[in-house]
Order: sequence, then C-alpha cells, then structure tokens
Amino acid sequence: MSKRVLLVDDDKALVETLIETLESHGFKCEFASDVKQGLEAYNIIKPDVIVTDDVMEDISAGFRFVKQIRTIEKQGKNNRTSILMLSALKNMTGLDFKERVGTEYLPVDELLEKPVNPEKVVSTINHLLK
Amino acid sequence: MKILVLNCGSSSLKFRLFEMDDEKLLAKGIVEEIGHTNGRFKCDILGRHKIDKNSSIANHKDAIELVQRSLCDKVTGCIKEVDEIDAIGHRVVHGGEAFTSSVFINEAVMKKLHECVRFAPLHNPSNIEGIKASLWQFPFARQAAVFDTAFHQTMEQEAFIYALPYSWYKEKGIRKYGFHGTSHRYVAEEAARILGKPFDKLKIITCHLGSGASMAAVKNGKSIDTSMGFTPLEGMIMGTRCGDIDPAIPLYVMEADGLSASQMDTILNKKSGVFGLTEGISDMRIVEDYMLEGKERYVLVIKMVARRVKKYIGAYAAVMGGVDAVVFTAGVGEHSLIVRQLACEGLEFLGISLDNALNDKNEVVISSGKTAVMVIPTNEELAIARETKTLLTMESNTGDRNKNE
Repeated sequence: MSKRVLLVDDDKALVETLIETLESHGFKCEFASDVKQGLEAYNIIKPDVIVTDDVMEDISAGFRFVKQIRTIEKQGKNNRTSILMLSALKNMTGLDFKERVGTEYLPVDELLEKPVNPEKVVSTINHLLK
Repeated sequence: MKILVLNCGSSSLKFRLFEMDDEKLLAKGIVEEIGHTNGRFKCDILGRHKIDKNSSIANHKDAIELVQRSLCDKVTGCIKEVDEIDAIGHRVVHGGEAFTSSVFINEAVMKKLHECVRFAPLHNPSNIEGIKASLWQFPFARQAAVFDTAFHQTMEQEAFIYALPYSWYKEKGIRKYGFHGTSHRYVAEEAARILGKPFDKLKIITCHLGSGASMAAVKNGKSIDTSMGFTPLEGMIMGTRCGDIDPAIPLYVMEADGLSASQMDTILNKKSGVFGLTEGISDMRIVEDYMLEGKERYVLVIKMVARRVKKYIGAYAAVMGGVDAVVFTAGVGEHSLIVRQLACEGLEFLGISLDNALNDKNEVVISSGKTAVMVIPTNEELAIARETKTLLTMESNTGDRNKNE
C-alpha cells in the first residue's frame, strides 16, 4: 500500500515538483499551503510522513504547525508521524535550525535546507520510514 | 493570551511580558552592554523574583536566551513552557513607506525590513537581530513588527514632502516619516478615553517630550503632521539633538572648520540641543534646578525648549483648524511643570488656560479652559502589546470568517 505524504508549503512550484517526484516513487501525496489547511489535511488523511516548510504565512508558521502536530499526538489522538522540515531560514536569517532538530524547540525528525533536491527529499523520507 | 514585547537597541534589550486578557504586567527587565564583557541583566518577575547580575553577553541571541531562561525558570519564572507566549511584539524604529501599520513578520516583511535599514542604520539592524534571536528562543510565537513610523503614514503629501528636488523623494525616499508613533497614538487614545469622547472626532496635539522629543497633530484619530522628519533630528530642542535649525548652518561650519559629514552628524545629534546650549548637561531635571537658582544660561534653555513646544502647538492648531486637547508625555512632558507652564502661557486664544495648582500637582487634566491640557504617562510597551493582540484577534476573526464560508 502506498505511503501517504502530506506536503505543507506555500511555494506552489516546489510543491508541484515534489508531488511529481514523490508520486513517481510510489508515494501518495496531499498538499496544503498554510498551517490551518495543513492541520485539516493532517486530521483527515493521517499521513505516514509530513514534509513542511518553516516560513509560510509568517516566519514561525512551520514551527507552530509541527508543535500542534506533536501536541495532538501527545494527547493520544494520533500515532507519531515522521516530520521532515524544509527550511528557508538559514538563508533568510543566518540561523542554523539544524542544531535544533529533535529538541523541544524543533520537534521534527529531519531538516533539509532549501533549495532542496527532490530526490534527496525522497531518500530522506525513505530513511524516516525505515 | 501572553505577549512579550521586545525593544532591541544596538547594545541593549528591554522586555516586558503581559497577560493581555487583563493587560497585567507579568515580567519586565533589561539587558545592557550587549556585545561587551561587562554586560548586565536585570529582570523583575513581578511578585516573585528579581534578578540583577553581571555577565558577558556576546549578542542579542545570548540576551534573549537569558530572558527566556528567566521567564521559564521552573522555580522563579512566570511561564512553564516557551510555547505559552502567543506572540512577540517587536518595536521597529523605521518602516519607511512600506509599512502603514503593524504586521506579522514573514519572508516579504523581513526583506522590506532590511531595505529600511538605510533609513535607520543605527536602529533597524538591532531590531532585525532581535527578531531573529527571538525566533530562535521562542520559535512557536507569532512575531509582529510594530513601527515607530507607521502611525504617521496617514500624513498628506503636503505635510511630508520637503521643498527639495522632487527626485530626492522619488529616488531616495527622502521625506518626513516621523517617529514615536506608538507613543503619540497611545497617549492620544488615552486622552480621548479619559475625556469620554470618540478618538475619531477629536483634534489632539501630543507632546512626547523626553530626551528625544517630538510632537504630533492627531486629527480624527489620524496623525496629520509631526515634528520629527526624515530622521529624529528635526523639530523640538532635545537632550542632545538640535531640532529645527537653518540647514545652511552645518554647511557653513563644515566649510569653515573642515568638518566631515560624520563629524557634523555627531555634533547635531549628540552635542547639540540642551547639551550643546549648557555645554555639557542634557538632563532637563538638572537644567531646571539651575534655572530655579536663577542661572541665566539655564533660564534661557528652558525658555527656548518651551517656546519651541508653543510654536508647534500654534502650528498644529492651525493645520487642524482648532484643538480639543494638548497632551504632555514622556520624561520632560510628564514631570516638568515649568516647561508645560511656559509652553501654554499666552495660548488663551486657543482655549488653552493652564491651572497652575493642577499643574503643580501633576494632575491628569491641568487646565481650566475649553481645551483640555493633559499629562498622560506614555506606555509604549503596552501599546505594542495591544497592537500585537489586535493582529492576533484580526487573524482569528478572519479565520472564523473563512470557516463560515
């Protein structure tokens, strides 16, 4: 059965490219472009993996999104979902959020800096699903 | 709803944490000498704990880490987790023409903030550093920018364009921007509230007289003119800034004494105003003490400062077609009885009649004429917190509306 990936990113061109690549590797994709839509989609499709942008409607949108996912999981409503963050913040702010991965400040499993290679996204997702 | 307000300077960071449901102040403090080995951190978790310690604080990131640790301290702090803070309101000095109101910070806003650095090279870079550092320490909080310049963006062209080559405005952005907008708006709104009249139906002159000083004409809830200009140098006689002068003077002295632009900039901003006139004192409390002793130079300084305020009251009453209230705020405005008295003297034709007994007692309303003269302490931090709360509320309402669609 195809693994389900939820893409949350406001960069439509990137989302289209990622969907094309992921689907060619057998993934089933859904997408959302902001936190609100992302949470709605998450609750409906219960993805195996979430790939999310960090900067969307504002610079902390992606952080709030993953925090809310983890809160829902903590409440026992859903199983833990692997999260890959695609980050534009290092370029924008000089801050290296890779240091924060897996901490209470950034409860995601992996972070790739933008611009991303779609094949790298696929290999990272495969790694997270192992 | 908890909102943290940050005011980042080049070597300092002031903060206040509010519970906005009842506007209760939970914590306040300051980090000083950032970037130096003799840094100092003062924090007051109200009713619980006080910190006053020296340590080396390398940058704004370290400074905000100190703030975060103190607020979240398991024993003495006032919040349990970083995600309890819903939003951070950042004071940003210059928003140029790009920002007419407060905004949540996204990629486009960050880009524009960097573009505005050219207008405030001493202030905006620190504001940007504060935004980055707070994103690092409080990643789940909304980040809002509240601009000193935004309130004055309602000025008409005739008020904000200088009589200089028009291309300077179009190509270089040279125009009057005005500053202290958050304070002017706050005290003007407070004045309307205290008078029990609608803010958008009043003509108010606000006098923010601190070490930096500016005045604004607030008509029907909007700033239509203000005394600071392209930079904070224009307008009032300030602690160390000259305010309005003949622009030919610096050119004359630069040529005569062979001074560079940078040297003249330092003289106009840091060695003029009250400091320049007294040859070394910028603190108006000391100047007032000497004035009361009858020392001639200090009498002159106080008269000059008050006269400048009076001239602007007259000018702003003229451009607004009247005045309902004159509001004094900030250090000098809130505490200098003599500046208020001299500034209002002889303005009975505008309905301004100061009651000396009320003025001496520092009452909220210190006049007896038809135009209210008021003393209202400014609270820029609370004003920034309110602005940030408004953004959150607007977003929440928009979300609800979308939901209903």
